[in-house]
Amino acid sequence: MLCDLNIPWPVASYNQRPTMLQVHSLKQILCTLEELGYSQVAFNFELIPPNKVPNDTKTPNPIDLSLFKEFKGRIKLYTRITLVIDDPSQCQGLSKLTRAFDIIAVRPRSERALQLAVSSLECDLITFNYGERLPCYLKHKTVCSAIEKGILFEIVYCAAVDGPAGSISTDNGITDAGISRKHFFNGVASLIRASRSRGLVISSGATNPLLCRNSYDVINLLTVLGLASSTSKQCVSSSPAKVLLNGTLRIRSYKQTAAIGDEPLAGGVGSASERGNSVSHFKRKLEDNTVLQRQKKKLSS
Amino acid sequence: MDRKNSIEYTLLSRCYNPGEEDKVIEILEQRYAADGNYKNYLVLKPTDNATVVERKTLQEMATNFLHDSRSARIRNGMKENKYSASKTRNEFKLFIKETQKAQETLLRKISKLPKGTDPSQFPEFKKVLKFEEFIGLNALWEEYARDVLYPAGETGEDPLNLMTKITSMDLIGSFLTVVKSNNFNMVGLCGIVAWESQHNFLVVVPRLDGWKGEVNGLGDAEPSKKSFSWRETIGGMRIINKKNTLFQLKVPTKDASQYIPFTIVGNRFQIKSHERASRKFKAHNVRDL
Repeated sequence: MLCDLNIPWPVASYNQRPTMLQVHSLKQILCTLEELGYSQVAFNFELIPPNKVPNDTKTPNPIDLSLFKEFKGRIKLYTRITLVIDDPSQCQGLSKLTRAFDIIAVRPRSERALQLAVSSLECDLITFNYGERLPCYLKHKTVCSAIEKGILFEIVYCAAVDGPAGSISTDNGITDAGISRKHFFNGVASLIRASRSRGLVISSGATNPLLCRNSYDVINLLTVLGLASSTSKQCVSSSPAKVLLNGTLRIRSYKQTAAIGDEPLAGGVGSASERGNSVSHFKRKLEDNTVLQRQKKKLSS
Repeated sequence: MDRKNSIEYTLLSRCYNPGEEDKVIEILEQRYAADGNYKNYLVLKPTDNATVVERKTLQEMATNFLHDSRSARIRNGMKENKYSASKTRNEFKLFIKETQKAQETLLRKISKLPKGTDPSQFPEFKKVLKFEEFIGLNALWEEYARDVLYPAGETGEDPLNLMTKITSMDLIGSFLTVVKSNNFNMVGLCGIVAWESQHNFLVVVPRLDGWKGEVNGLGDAEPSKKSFSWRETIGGMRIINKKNTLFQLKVPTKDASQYIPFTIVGNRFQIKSHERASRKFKAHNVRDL
């Protein structure tokens, strides 16, 4: 089971809807991913500070999965929100979102924000912008305490594959793409060091189909960066599955003890947030063919 | 015959010939009547040296108490024998052990015989727990569940509210099905919970076929399954570990026309049931699920 948990949603605010062209390009990405063997894909809605969660909204989830009906049965689609946090005071509307998205990710832009995300936020993933310098030096203690709690760290490889290939020397020395690649390798290396190669998830962040990569390419990239090949395999398969399970349990269960519904928890039927939060969805008809019912009947007759 | 004097009646009837029942009834009636030959008073007469004897006995009783082994042990702060057979806990343990042993013996005996043999011909069959006897318990549990989940004035439409209540509910008497387990022999097992401990569910499972009424309905417990193992045909008690196991629990809706399935995560339920009722749960790392 291959997962890609980061396909950016083309619209950045709540008021807009994606244009037909943007939806078409998303579909192209999905087709490419399907061809490459991915089966679980999450759309990522990024909330950058000036944009806020509207107070009065009844639908805190702007991602409309009904646009992608033709992928039903081929790829399982999930929704994800990434909250960009500079300052601990920014994440007050989080409780509204917890049951609306399958995955909740946090992108801290300062050390305090990272500390907050690790210690007290109810999130599943922590991610960074790998095209830039990391917000702070990553300490082993901070990173591993998050992984111990079940919050995993995400590596986005589009920063490494985007832009013109090779290093083109210009007057300034290196091109933009070269700089972003430099930051990517730096950032990922320090993340691998801080996390002791545990609890990492890799995803594409692809804005066009050309940025998607085969799982073996991804594993190769991670091996180059210094991960063991078995651990890098986990980064595309079992670790993202854990993130999805964590998200499913957050929505469908009370503190992971008792979950509603009869669908399997791991690798479930797709977006849990899509189906709303009403009991009526989960109701089933009484069958009279079960062991219990037949024994009851036998006893009463 | 008066019901409340039945014990006295049986005792007295042993003292008389079988033909003389009316005599016994007469005695019993006079026994509690205000005006009869037999009066219910106790005659207390002083004995010789009454005061001395009394003092002596008191003293004796005191010394007896001091030197009595059990009370001495209690005074010295020593623990009671926790393996004593008279303790309820040990009695229950013994019961489980014996039932399991009977089940195993029955299984060993019956597996040598041709398929379709009636297990009730063996003496061990009496000791095996019967699913039918626990159906009443299940009915009681369903009533209890409906009382807890849908108190007056609540629609029971909020999933979070329902799940919170399920977590703090007593599960003895509920019908559980194992959906997923690391022990693949347990998958598909279903039965009524007879007891819940910290790490295990003690479940009573039905006989699936090969015995009396179930012979006619052969195979429609699980239509895909053509034959059942010997263990399944005997049924009885199973101990299911909660660790690495997912259970399905079906709860009736408010109007009892439908049911709501719940998945119980065994790993997070490893708490004694009385502690679970008042416990504050926390989300953990999901690596063990």
